[in-house]
Amino acid sequence: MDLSIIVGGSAGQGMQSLSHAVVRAGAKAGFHVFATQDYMSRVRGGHNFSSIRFAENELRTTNQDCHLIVALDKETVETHRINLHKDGLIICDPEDVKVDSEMMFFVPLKALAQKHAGNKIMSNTVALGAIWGLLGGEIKDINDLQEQTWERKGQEIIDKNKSAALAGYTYAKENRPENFKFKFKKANTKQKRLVIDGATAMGMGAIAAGCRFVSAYPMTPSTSLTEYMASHKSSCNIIVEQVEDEIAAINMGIGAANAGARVLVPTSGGGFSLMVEGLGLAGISETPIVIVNMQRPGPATGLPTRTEQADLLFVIYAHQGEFPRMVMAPHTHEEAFDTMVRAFNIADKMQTPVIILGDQFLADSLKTNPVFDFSKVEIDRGKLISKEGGDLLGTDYRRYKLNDDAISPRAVPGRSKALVRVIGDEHDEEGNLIEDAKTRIAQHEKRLKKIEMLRNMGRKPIEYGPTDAPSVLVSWGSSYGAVKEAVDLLNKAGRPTKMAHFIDVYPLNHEHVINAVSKHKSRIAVESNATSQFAKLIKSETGIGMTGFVLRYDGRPLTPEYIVSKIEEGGDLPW
Amino acid sequence: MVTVNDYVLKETAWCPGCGNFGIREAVREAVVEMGLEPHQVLFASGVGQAAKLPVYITGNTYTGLHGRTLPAAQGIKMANPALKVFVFGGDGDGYAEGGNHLLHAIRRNVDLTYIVHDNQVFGLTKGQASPTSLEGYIAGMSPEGTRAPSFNPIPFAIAADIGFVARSYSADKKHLTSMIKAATEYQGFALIDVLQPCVTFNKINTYKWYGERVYHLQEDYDPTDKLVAFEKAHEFGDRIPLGIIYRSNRPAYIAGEGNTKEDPFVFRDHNPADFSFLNDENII
Repeated sequence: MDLSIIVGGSAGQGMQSLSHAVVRAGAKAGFHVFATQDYMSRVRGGHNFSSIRFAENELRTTNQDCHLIVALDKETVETHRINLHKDGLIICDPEDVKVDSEMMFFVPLKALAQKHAGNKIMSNTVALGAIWGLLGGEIKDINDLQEQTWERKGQEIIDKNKSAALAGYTYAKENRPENFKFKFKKANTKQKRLVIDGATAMGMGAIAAGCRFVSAYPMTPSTSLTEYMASHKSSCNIIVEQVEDEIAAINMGIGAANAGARVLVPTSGGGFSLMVEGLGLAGISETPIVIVNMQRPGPATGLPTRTEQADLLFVIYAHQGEFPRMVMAPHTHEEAFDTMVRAFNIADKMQTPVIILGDQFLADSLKTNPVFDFSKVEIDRGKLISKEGGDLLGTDYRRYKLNDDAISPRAVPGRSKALVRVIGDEHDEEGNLIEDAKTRIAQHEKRLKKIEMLRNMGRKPIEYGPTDAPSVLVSWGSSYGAVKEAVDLLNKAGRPTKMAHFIDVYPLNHEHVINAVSKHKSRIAVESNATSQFAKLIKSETGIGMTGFVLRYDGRPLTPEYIVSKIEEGGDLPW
Repeated sequence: MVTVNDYVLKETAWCPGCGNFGIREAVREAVVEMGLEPHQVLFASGVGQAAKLPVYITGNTYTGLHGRTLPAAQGIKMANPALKVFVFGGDGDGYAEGGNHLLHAIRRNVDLTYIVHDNQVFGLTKGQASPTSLEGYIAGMSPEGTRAPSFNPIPFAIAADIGFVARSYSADKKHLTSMIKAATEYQGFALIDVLQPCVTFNKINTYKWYGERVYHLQEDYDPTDKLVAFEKAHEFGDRIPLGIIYRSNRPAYIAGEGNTKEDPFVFRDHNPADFSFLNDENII
């Protein structure tokens, strides 16, 4: 089973809550579900849709085509009928959409809501029932969901929603066209799972890692991560500050980090641009800090609510001067959680900034996910000095002490008798401002030594598919699911292809690239940007060039079909 | 018992006669009189001649970016409320590059003592006009004289509902020391605009110029009357008042419920397994 539904409407019609309900009902039924959110940058009107996919195995991407459309407005019909399977149907309320065709399956959503629940507002619950009725789902899934969703609102609201859902369900069952053949299979998973988006996975990871301080300015698509942290400030003892601008966000974060906090600074590309001077300050002052850049298409305002992977070279090279930093791009929701923990540990161990590159696709996509095992999370704060250790050192403490391994023991001010001098000027071991060449060289080399240490900490790329394939797709970050399915499609079509997918993208581990990429005759970069930024990084650092490119920069996520079609269009195929 | 000897004054690169020396001495007096030991205080600054003060004295220090000290200092204080945090910067740092942060630091009201070394000129970059330079001030980047009126931080701060704002003078150490103590005792964001001659670059606002104009506010002046304070705040000409211009009992912002001096969030033990309840919120 591999079924897809598109739910579309204009902002303010409850499209998003309906799509969430569909995903959650799918989870209740025991399916694996994955849903993307495609919305316009406006509070009312426009065209928004969610693409929801159900399967019996793990999903990490949606596909372009669908079997069912729920159209809350006429535009949804017009925009998405080309994506509809020839035997698919479009559910809509005859009051809203007056388009007549064989594809239409009219359900009087509002009239049924009024009749069975006493309020038109529950028309989206009728729609949910109708989807289940058409696809042969069990009403129990929907009823269970209503009990969970409206638990706090009381039995009356639960019952009304159940009545609304049942009305849609019954209507769809009774009026189901005979030739509509798509059906849910009996699901196999019955274990409890999460329904989360990538931003929530990151937030959970940050809290697991012991994040105690968040400073941010609202910017799509990073805001949901900040709001997740803010909604847990009391239960998880986190200071979350909405600040006046991103310059304040990074500088406040650097202050808090130097006072001992594990600090998270979420933003998107525009905000990251403002933070750049602070990034360098974190580098020279050896401040551990984790910055999340949820990418969206730029430059400037660009496409605020859409997705892209075009900030890679920017975050790698941003800032005057030279200093160590690590850049990680998690490829799945599970990895987003783990990446957060790893980022905090590496930032502390290396005393330098770590940047996580997410994007709108990862941040906003909802999926069923295994529960996270918090007990397995390991915390490593590197050379952070305890209160007792600091008291022993007292005035002998040197924040930037030269060591064999480039990492100085880190005391924090006010925690002990040790006096801590943090500074953005070039400095001596104690943290005094200096200008002499010898000290500059010693401290600069100390910091730059960390670049090689970070390079060696990098994770190997994920390789998938036949290792002797003539062709390799080279990708990074959130496109993992789409690239992996593209590899499956190509292999099934008799075109042996491997994937080499990178998560730790900087500092680039050359050996990893050589081992995973160089052997293949055809090397195809697959990236959500127009200038193949990761391919450029590989070429500039290892000399290994790509032979082909699949690049998407229309603000929409990469899909398996898109990748395969672009490879075929590209000609000069290796098979 | 802490003494002035616990705060070692280091060799400086300031010009002889610079007002910064007076400010540094007053700061040392104030912290010692308040019984604060070096490990209990943090001196924060950005970039500029004033910003070098922390570099030239014993203590915990934070020297960050030009104009960006207030956000950093608030971050430090929020993370560790037990630290006494003093922020130093010039008029360029605080009123030009950092203007937006000043507005929001006032609004947020984190407990900090912010001392602006206001010499009405840029020192480190050699003599350009600052926001507080008098209108018509002639300098390298404004050869025909500045066009904009001089910025007066005191009414600005009162308008933004600051809890404590004072003006002092670097050559009046006793007064400045008392202002620093009063500002520190106020539990919230306190601004002291300290008039300070730049002996090298500002040939107008000299020791003589300030000396002829400054006077101490009388004891019958009521700094809690906002409208009177707002009027008094505008006095900057033939006569310049020194003292607490305005204060209110606006409570300080404590970031995080239970994030206390005794038990800050940051230093609490962290056991990841304690947070597995986060799964429950999204479980289906």
